[in-house]
Amino acid sequence: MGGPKPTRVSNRIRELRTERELTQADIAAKLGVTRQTIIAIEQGRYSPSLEMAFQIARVLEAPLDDVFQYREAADS
Amino acid sequence: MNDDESHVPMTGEEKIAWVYGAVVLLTSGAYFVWLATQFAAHPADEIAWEVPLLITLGASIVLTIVGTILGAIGGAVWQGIWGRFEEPDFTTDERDRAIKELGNRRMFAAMTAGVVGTLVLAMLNVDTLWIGNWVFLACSIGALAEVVSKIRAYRRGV
Amino acid sequence: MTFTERYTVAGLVIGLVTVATYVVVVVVRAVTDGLPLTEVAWQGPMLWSLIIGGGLYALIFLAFWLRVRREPHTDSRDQEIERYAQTAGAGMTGLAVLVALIMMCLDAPLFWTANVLFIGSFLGSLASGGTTLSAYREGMPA
Repeated sequence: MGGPKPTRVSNRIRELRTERELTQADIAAKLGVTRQTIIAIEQGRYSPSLEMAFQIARVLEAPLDDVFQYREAADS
Repeated sequence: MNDDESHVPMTGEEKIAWVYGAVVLLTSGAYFVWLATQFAAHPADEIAWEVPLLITLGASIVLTIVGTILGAIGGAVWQGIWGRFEEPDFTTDERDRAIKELGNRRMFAAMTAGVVGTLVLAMLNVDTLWIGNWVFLACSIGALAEVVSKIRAYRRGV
Repeated sequence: MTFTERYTVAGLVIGLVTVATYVVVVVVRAVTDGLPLTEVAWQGPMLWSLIIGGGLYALIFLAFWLRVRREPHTDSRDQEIERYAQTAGAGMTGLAVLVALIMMCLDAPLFWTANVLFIGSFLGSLASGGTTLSAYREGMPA
């Protein structure tokens, strides 16, 4: 067992963040997490908890499903 | 606002994992190599393994602490050289906790093997040379497995 | 109760009863034979407690499993709780292992080393079992 779990959740954090002129470090500081975690989330290498997802949306001043998208399975 | 993602420093937790992995490899490795040479030279019940093992345990703790501190200083110096000043990240957030849990599972599996083997050997009244070194070997391998899984999770994703 | 909760409770109860019996047997032997603890034959009682305790647990687990095997009986919540609880227990067991190892290096009597390991691991399993049940009842930290 190695490698990341496939997830159907994608996000537009980077887009929304640059619109609001926020850096990864800004968001990380506001949430009390490391910058590396924000990077990992943007790159799809980490799935934030539900709490953290809401906090991110709040910082970006956007509704949750503007920030995170759930891809419907085309296959199974 | 351009985020330069090409040189993101490691989190404190990841650095500790690297340091710990290197230290275990070094100290346990040296100890077991030494032990192997002892088997060639002496019969098993005459090998004085107790003190060397204690020294190895102590050294691994000290070296991990020292290594972590040096790593933190070195990281700051390195960033300074490149003119990039970022706040050193010593927060432990939910991702660090999740990765720690992942690492713990590996360590726990190895430790269980160590404990079961130890109890069996003890019940058979085997010389403590075998019992003590079995447990230490199991835990050393467990520590390495833990570190590898944590680093992969930090780099590739959980 | 979920399947996981059921077998966790069973494990805790069986563990408690088995280890308590073991301790009683060993102490009684020391008293009636007038031996210091380190000279009591602890190996037999420990082996029996592992076999009987382990066997009972396996049977009860099997019984529970047979009841639920046709439906999905574990999900991601169960896995998350299991991982969280394992971390809680592993610390205690790890400490026991470290102490036992140091005792061996200091040439402590095998009786003490083996029992520190045995009881310490048991306490670790109590910690993780207790954490499991509390996570089901009260939830995990976010």
